[in-house]
Amino acid sequence: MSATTATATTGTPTASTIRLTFGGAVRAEFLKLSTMRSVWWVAIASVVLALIAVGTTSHELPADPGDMAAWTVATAAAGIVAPWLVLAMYSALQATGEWSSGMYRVSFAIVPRRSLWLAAKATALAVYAGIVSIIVMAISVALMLARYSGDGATVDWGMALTWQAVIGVPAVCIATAVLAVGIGALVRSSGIAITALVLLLVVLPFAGVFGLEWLAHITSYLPVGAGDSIVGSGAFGVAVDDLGIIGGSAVLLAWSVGACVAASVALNRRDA
Amino acid sequence: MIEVSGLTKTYGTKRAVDDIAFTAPPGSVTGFLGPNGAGKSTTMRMIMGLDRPDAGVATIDGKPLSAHVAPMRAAGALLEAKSVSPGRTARNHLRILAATHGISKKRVDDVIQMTGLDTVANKRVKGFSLGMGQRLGIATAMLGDPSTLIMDEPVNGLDPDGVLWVRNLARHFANEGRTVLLSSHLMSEVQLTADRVVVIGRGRILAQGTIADFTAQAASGSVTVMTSDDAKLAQLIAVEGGKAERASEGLVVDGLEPPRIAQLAVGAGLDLHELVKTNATLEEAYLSLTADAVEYHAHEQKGAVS
Repeated sequence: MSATTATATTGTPTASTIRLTFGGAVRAEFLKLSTMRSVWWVAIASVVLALIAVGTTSHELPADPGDMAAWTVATAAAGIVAPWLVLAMYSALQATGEWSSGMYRVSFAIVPRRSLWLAAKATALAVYAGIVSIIVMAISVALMLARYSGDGATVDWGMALTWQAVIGVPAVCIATAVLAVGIGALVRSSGIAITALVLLLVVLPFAGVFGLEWLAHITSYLPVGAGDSIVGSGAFGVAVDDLGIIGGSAVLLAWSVGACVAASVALNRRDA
Repeated sequence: MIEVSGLTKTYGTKRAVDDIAFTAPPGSVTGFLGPNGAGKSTTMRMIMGLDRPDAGVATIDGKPLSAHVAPMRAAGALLEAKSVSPGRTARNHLRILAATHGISKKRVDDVIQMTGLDTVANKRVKGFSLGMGQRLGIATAMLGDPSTLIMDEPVNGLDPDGVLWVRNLARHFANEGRTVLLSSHLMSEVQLTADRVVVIGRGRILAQGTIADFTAQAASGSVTVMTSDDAKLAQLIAVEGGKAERASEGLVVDGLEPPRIAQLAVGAGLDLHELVKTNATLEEAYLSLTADAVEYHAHEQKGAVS
């Protein structure tokens, strides 16, 4: 560290074409993910959790062999529950991590438009959650086909439910990741964000289990219930009312957008 | 150029910054001076858009930082060292920041080299010493090649080599026509680097101007005089509106300049033995200004065992 002492220099000026862009902010958020080892651990953990859920649980075969295709894809889709939670937690922690590390001071100084920063972070985590959940879904389906090939497990690409699962599962994971980023940026504390997510994604949805019927109906409008309506196979196992694909999508989108809008308003009004 | 006007910020019931206004012009180093807790960091955070002012505005080159198309090019700041995820390497940290503005990889390498981080650039920040963290903070501030450089207590934790380097860096930036604002609670540090000072105490601006102006304004030097009849001269000085106090030898006069004192003495037929103007040092000027504004006075502990 002695080479720089005697004379200070600011070096060659950089090109005057540099400017802050949304694309640049997204690239920076991707780099934030890829430069930490946790990004790999979360992906590996997601795959392993799905493998355990799909590969080791004993599943009851459908009574009617005609339901084999629906059963195959629904069972594979149900493997997403644990990875989905992991991805949500990870997304929230990526947002709150800015505050726990102190990085937010630098982040907001170079990206002073905080809505842009939030949108970039949500985009990066949405893409990550999408990629991981597609991989998880593909592995789950392949595992189901391999494990139950003798029983006639099959994938029927002509069936709507297949597409609902194959597209719906990643879509739900993406929307939940965005929701989690919004919650993280809103509360800024890892502990509070995780608690809120556990309440919203795990505890509340099972309120119906305790026999509170009116609560069970509300459950259908929670992110999980909306996700069930999208996937259509009861992957998350909580929906009471079927909102349909469009209804479910609208409700889930409202959650994600709502959390991000709330976070954006709060970020812009508050001190960093 | 940094322009601050009417800036006010209250945290809870504490008014951290109270209706302050100052300008840090381009081409010079402005020292932002004040005791701990005076409002320096709060002001810098507001200039960088981190904290929202309750009232007033802070602009960089005429507009708030967020209104610039390339904020990193408008202003770079070292606010608190180690504003970094500890698990990342220094190089990756800088690459991330560079990505937001499409700044080249070469520029990242350049600032790593300029700040002397070459040997540790690929190490995780969690193992960094205070000084290395400070250098990374300065590298972060310089990355966008900004026209305004803001540094909060930049020499904290630096070794003597590093202190000298920061001073040279600040001077070099100013000589290139850029704006430099650096805070310190040490007058001696500011005196060595800055052309101008803005003094803040308890959230209010106490003085601003060139270092020479500041010295004159804050504490005009007193004059020591010895004559054949000091008592007589003291009377004459009092009539003129000056203040004379008897010292061990001669008088210490405030409020009159040496030429007038000489006229009075000679006019009264006194022999003038000595006439010396003692210029206040900048440190004295600073201390006299902030004496009432120090937030945390040291209290003597009674019965403390040494």
